[in-house]
Amino acid sequence: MSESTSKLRSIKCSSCGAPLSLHAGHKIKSLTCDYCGAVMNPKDEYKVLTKFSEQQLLSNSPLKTGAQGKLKGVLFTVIGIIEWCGDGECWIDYQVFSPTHGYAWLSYESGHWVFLRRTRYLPNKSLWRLLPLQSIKVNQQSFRFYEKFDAKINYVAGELTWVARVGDTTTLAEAIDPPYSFSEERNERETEYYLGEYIDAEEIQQQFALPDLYKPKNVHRLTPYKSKFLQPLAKAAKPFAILSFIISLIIWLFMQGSPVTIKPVVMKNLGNGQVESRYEFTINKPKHLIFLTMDTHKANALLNTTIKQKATGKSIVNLGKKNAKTGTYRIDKRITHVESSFIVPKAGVYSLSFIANTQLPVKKVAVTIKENRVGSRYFFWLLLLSLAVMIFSFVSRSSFESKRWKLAGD
Amino acid sequence: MYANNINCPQCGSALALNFRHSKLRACEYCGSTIFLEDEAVRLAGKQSVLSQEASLIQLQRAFRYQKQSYLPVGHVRYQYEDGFWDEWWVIDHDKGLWVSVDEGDFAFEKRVTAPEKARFENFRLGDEIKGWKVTERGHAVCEGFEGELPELVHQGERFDYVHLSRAGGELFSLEFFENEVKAFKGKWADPFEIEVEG
Repeated sequence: MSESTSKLRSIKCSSCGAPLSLHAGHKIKSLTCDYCGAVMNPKDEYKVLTKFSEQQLLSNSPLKTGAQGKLKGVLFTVIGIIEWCGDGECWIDYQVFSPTHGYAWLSYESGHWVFLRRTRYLPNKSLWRLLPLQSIKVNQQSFRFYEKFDAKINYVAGELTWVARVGDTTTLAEAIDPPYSFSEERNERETEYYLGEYIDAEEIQQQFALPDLYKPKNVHRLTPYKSKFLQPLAKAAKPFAILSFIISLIIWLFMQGSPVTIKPVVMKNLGNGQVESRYEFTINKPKHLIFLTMDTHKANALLNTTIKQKATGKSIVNLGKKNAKTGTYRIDKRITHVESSFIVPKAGVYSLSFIANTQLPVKKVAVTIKENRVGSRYFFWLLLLSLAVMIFSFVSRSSFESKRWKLAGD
Repeated sequence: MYANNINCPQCGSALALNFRHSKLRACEYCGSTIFLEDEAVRLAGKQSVLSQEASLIQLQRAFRYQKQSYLPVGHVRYQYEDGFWDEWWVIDHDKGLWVSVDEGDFAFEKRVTAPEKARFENFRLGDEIKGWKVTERGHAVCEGFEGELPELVHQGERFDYVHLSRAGGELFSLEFFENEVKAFKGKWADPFEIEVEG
C-alpha cells in the first residue's frame, strides 16, 4: 500500500470557474486557484476567503501541482506551491502528499532540492537564541546554527495544510548538519519544526521525469561534501597513516640495534699525504641490518671508506664507488658525515678502513656501528604519503566548507 | 505469541485470537461483533464494513519500528471534524499498544491511568499543564472496527478528546466518554522508520 497514490478529484474554482484538481487528504486548510488567485476554504464548501488577482504566474517552477515522484522511496504528489522571497533570495516550496506518509515539503532554490518533514522532536535549546557557530541537539543529532531571516509569500497555488496568502510573512531559523537541516518556523499562529534533507538534483529529475533541469553550480548550505577521488583516498590513507606512524615510532624507540664495539687497529701512512685508518669489529647476527655512522670535522676525510670481511678480504661496503653493491649509504657534500646500512653474509670479524688525504688523528673521527637494526625508511615514506593525501583532502574539504558557510547569517 | 480460536456464534466460522486479553472480535465472514467474556462468547450485533483506505499499517501484516516487531490485530476508525483517523491495536513483546494514524501522523501509545477529575472543558488549545501543551481538542465518533480489540468499543459511540504534547515527541491523549475517561501516553513516530515485513 506504500505505492498508493492520492485520490484525484476535481472541482470548479468558486471565483472564476476554472477546473481545479484535488490530490490531498482531509488536513487541507486552503485551496488557491492557479488562474485567478482566489483562496478557498475546503472545510466550508470552497467558499472564497480572499483573492490575489495581482499574482503573477510562476514561470520558473520545475514542478506543477499533480506531479508525482518518489522521495525516500515513497510516492508523493505535488499538491501546492508557494514562492517565498527573503534575505535577497527567492525559492519555491512544494507541498507534497502521500496517503501513507502524509504531508511534507520539497524546497527548490537555484537548482538545489531539500525534502522537509515536520518533526515533533524539539531542540534542547531555542534556535532563536543561538549565536554563530553554536549548536543545538535534536533527538541526539547535533545541528550548527546557520541563519535566521524573514520571508514573504510571493505566489501561492493549489492545496495547502494552512491558509497561505500572498504578502504573508514568516520568520525562519535554521541549523545544519549537512546534508540535514533543522528549522524552526514562526508565524502569528504557531511554531513548527522541520527536518530537512538535501536531495540530489538528478534524483529529482529522474523521479519526477523532468526533461531538463538546471544543474546547480554553487554550493548550497546542505550540499554534502563529495569527492569521487580524494575522499575515498583520504579515508583509505587514514589507517595507513596511523599504522605507519605507530610502526615507525616503535622502530625508532626500540629497534635501533645493539652497539658493536669498534677497535682501532692501525693508522698507516701511504705517502703522498694520504693516511689509511683501520678498525675492527665483530658481527654476531648476520643477515640483519647493520647501521654505520662516521663523523669528522675534516672535509673529504671519509672518502674511500670500505668494510671487508677480515677472514676472506671480501669487500662488503665501498663508499668510494658509486656502484656500491651492498646496502645503502648517505654522504654529505663535504664528506664529513657518512651513514650506511648494510648486511653481512656471515658472523665474524670485519674491518673498516678509510683513507684521508691528510694525517687525521683517530680521535677526530667518531665511528658507531649498530647491529640487528630494523629499517623504518619505507614506513616513514608511507606515513608521509598518507599524511599528504589526508592534508590535501582536508584542504579541499575546508575550501568547500568555506563556500557553504560564506552565506551564513546571524 | 498467544494463539487460540473461537467460533462465531452467528455463522460458525473459526476465528483466530492473537491476544490473551481480547475483549472484542469482529467476524470477517458475517460482520458480527462478538464480546469475549472469560471462556464465553456473546453476539453483540453487526458491524458496518470499514472502507479500505491507503495505509502503511494493515491487519495481520507485521511491521518493524526502531528494531521492534509489531503485529496489528485490531483496527478502529474514528470520524472527527477534519476527516477520520485510525487506531491499530498491535501486539508487541509486552502487553500490546495502540498505533494512531492520521494522514502520516503516527503515534505509539499505551493506556495509562486517567488523571482524577479530568474534564474536557478544562483543556483549552495552547494551555500549558505541568509541562504538557494542549495541541488538539475535538469530538469524535466511532465509525467501526475490525479484528480483535483489548477493550470494548461501540460503533456510533461519541466522545471528546484532547491531545497534549511535550518535548521529545511525547504525546498524552485523553478520551472523555459518558461514563469514563481513558488516558493514553506515548510518542509520535516517523512513518519513514516503519518497515512493513514480508
